[in-house]
Amino acid sequence: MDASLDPAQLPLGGQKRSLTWRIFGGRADPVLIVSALVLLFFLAWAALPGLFATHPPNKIGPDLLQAPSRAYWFGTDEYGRDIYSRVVYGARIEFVIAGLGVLIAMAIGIPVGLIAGYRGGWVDGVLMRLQDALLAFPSVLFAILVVAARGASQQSIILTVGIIFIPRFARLVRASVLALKEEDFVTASRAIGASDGRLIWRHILPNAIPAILVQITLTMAVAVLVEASLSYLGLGVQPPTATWGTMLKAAQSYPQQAPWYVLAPGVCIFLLVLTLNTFGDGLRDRLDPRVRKL
Amino acid sequence: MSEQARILIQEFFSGRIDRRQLLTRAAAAGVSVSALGAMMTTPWQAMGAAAQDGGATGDLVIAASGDVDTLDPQVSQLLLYGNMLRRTVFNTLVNYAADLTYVGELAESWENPDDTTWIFNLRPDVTFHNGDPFTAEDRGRRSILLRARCREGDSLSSRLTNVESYEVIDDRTISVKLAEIQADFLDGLTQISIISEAIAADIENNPIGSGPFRFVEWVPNDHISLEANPDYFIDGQPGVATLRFNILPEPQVSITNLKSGDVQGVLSIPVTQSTILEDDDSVNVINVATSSIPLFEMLGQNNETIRTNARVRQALAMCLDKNAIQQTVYAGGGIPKWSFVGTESWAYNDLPGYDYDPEAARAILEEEGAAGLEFTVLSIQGYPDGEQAATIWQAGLAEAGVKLNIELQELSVWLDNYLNHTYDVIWNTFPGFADPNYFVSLGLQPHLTDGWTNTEAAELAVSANQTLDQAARKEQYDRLQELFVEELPIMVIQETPVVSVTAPNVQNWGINSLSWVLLNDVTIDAE
Amino acid sequence: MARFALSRILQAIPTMFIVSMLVFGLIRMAPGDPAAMQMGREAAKPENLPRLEALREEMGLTKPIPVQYLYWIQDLAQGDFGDSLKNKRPTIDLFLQKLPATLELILGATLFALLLSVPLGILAAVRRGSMVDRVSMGFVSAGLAVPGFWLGLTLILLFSVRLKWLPASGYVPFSEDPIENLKRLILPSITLGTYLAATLMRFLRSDMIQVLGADYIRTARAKGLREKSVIMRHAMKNALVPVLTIAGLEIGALLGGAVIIEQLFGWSGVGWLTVQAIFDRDYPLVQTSVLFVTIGLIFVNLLTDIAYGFLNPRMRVS
Repeated sequence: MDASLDPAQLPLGGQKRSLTWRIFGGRADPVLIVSALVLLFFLAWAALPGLFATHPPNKIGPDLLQAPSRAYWFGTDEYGRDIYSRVVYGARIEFVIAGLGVLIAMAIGIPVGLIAGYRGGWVDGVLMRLQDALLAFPSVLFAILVVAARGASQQSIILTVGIIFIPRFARLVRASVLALKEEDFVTASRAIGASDGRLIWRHILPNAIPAILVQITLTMAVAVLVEASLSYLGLGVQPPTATWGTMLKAAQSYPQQAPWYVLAPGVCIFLLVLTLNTFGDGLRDRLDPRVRKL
Repeated sequence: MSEQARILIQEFFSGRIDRRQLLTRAAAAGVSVSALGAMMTTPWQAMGAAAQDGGATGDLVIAASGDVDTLDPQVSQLLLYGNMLRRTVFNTLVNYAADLTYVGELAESWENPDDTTWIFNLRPDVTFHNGDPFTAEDRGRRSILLRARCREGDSLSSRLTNVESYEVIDDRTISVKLAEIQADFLDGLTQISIISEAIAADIENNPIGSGPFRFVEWVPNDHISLEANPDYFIDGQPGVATLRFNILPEPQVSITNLKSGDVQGVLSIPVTQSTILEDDDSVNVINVATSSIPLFEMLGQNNETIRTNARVRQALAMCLDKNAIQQTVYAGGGIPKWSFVGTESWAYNDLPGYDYDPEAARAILEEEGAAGLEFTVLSIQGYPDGEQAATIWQAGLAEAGVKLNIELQELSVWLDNYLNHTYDVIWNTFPGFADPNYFVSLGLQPHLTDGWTNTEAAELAVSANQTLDQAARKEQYDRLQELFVEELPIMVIQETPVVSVTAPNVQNWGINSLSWVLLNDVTIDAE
Repeated sequence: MARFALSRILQAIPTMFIVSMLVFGLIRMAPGDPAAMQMGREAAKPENLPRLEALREEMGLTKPIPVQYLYWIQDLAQGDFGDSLKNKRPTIDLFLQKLPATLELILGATLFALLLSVPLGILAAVRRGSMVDRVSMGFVSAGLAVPGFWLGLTLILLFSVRLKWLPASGYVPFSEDPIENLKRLILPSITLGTYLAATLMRFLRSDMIQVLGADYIRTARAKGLREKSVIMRHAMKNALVPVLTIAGLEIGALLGGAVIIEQLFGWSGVGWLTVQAIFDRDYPLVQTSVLFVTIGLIFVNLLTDIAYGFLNPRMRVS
């Protein structure tokens, strides 16, 4: 199939339909819609935790490790805090870590990819060797080193997530730049004297956006798992702040006393990662049916 | 010779050692190869029940929550090292009895003819695991104690810094002359493992002592294995033929290993995780009250208000709900208290301290111009009791309008801040100790030279350890404890229990009130 | 092919330099003092300060960091990887001692992933929309979303405690007791391999679907070949190539996962060793293990590329 035959793939004036329409319009994809709804639900928790929580998240009480009840929907933890309310408040931290982390990765990765791809030559070589080094360094070990150097905190985790995911965006953008650089419309624009900045801004970047969008959701999913891993190693967010990772870690100590404790944050992580993944996959199918991730 | 050779041959026939080990051990024990050969030809059943003499049968595998840092007994400071190696592989001159009075181990008896002289009479029948005899000096050069601290960097050698000279009177007698009177001199000796001279230089790889177990191997992060020393001088010890420690950092995983039969004991698990096991017939829970104390050190460099104002510290203490901590962190176990001295100790002064009363605390803070105080407490990752105590304190402080931030740091980072006093308040925990001077020298002295400007306390801290009469010492410690609780340079939380879990067929598992796990008498029944 | 491999190896050299600087810098940027770690509580005594200082000197920590880095590179050039600050043993020995356990774990996880994903992925593709397909896709979604240590602990509770089928944890060298070694390998391999299995299954299914629609398969079918032999002979061969590539590329992720899984299962390998060394601030050990792990990963990626180029000659041009 030739790319120019697909209206969604046509650059410049050919791209009439908005991105939102391309994602949700036309024939509805039930999986995409369901995962979008679940995501919205978690986002609502994150945006307005006070509205959904039934207790203050850090309020210590005398009822330790209580089973779920009318007063405590998901039971209480080892301090007598309400697990449900902590899970609700934890959603915000998850989105902040994943969101800001991915934002950092994009803020660095996209320009690096653009420059490397557009300039080529030794600039490309140097930038790509840096990416190689980041990729060759096992990411969990790298995360531990960064958090060790900066001390365990929310900022450290965000920074770590940001750094380890730079190559994902840099490589993706570089690849699409390389693919588009030789396309006719780019060569044509250049021939009529368009500046580099204008070329990148008007032509190359918009074409990479669908792929970047897909990558954002998939990377956020991995970021949530990275937070859980760091928490398991004791390098999570500082107490008493509730994050799903630190809750899961704490709950591991009471599998027999309080089996429901481990369930609440575990299921939340599971669901969030699951929906981010399916949403990302759905996006990819809608936006770019021909290209699958490799 | 025949006894040693016989045991060796029995071990060989029972498959516990191979031929090469047999020959090297025999050589070390001074048994000639020909004599060994002669004995090998006698039917081994005819050699008597030597294996039963020792009573050491069965293999015991124990889960330990962490690894040792080194094999060198004079370097390692870890409680785990003490449990796994110091008291199994090595002996000390003096050790504790169950009531924490001193008993001889390698020393049979001792006397102090004057205030600064100690004369030890050594046990005659002791050999090191490599066959070297235990004597007062090695080839006329260094006394056993001097050898034990032979290297300058060794942290434990500070226990002997007060020694002016050693005099070897004869093979079995050694006299130690101290520069100053030192009341806790014997107490320090309980930490000095006596090692064989021949391997002193190689102790990091080859920990040869004279204890009930011989070192076999250490695979870092994996396991440490020991085997019974059949020549051990205390009858009935050791109780098992082999002892192996598997390093399993996750307490829940240790418990599952115990339940699945992969290990037969777990050195220690958090108290809160043990309550569910109390009703479980498939395991034994051994919960022992100890004099270990978690505490908050209050005199950090970073917070002027807290460091310089004792009334503020008292107000902060009123926000610490010790009852809640006891329930939440220690499952109701242990004894809340304010003094640093063990509640069972001769020196303990039972002071009332401060009741939980955030409202009163708020009033005091307002009076002192410290309303709306905010500070940070540093605690250590992987020590849930620190995090939990801080979290409960945080809630109490919030009631009094004080904002507490908690920062969990890696052990190495925490230690840096602890040593440099770069903190507002820091959580710390001291293992149990018998002599109050242990805490005074390690916990109080660093503050007395820095943040705690109290000349009376500073004088008492020194003079109490230069007094040999126990009644007179107690008087001084009584006063020191009063000052300690009143001015709160350090806020003690409570004494904590220590919990081991074992399989039902494990007997004589010991934990003393210093939170040491004692394994030399442990036996395991065949199932 | 030789030129391709050579250029990749040459590219790896600057990468290694960057990694060496990163690891050296990061671990030294981290606060914490190995000498104090060794002395522990005793270092608080004022009279022990000179001892602490002497220990730092002995550990070579008093020189400026760039100088320390140059010394390290110089030693490396002579094949000296340095001794652990903690237990004075050569770091290379410590690393090599732990390597077999980790290799075995990664091999076990990869094997589990392949054994599960290849048949199920193919079946799911051949019978699109069937029960097998749905279950497989369910596994894919779940496998990608479950935190590893949660899965591991659940498996231990189920198979070791409840059912008592398998030992809970611990590593026994294969040379000591092969059966015991394999029994203990099962649970950690499943835990570590699940994510990879899900990843592979996803790619295999979609590759297979694509390949089955390709011209040459239609031709094969048209020639009257039986469906089974079409799938086995033609489709599978082509769909497996990218899967092997992905498996190679995912080795890095497996190593990262091993950091946690090893600790959870008391499986004493390289990941645990490295994390412990980071926490202990055992600088030389951290440097040696990260360096070797990185070399290993670069090597595996290189092999993957070469294998891919070999299996798929079109790639060689680009």
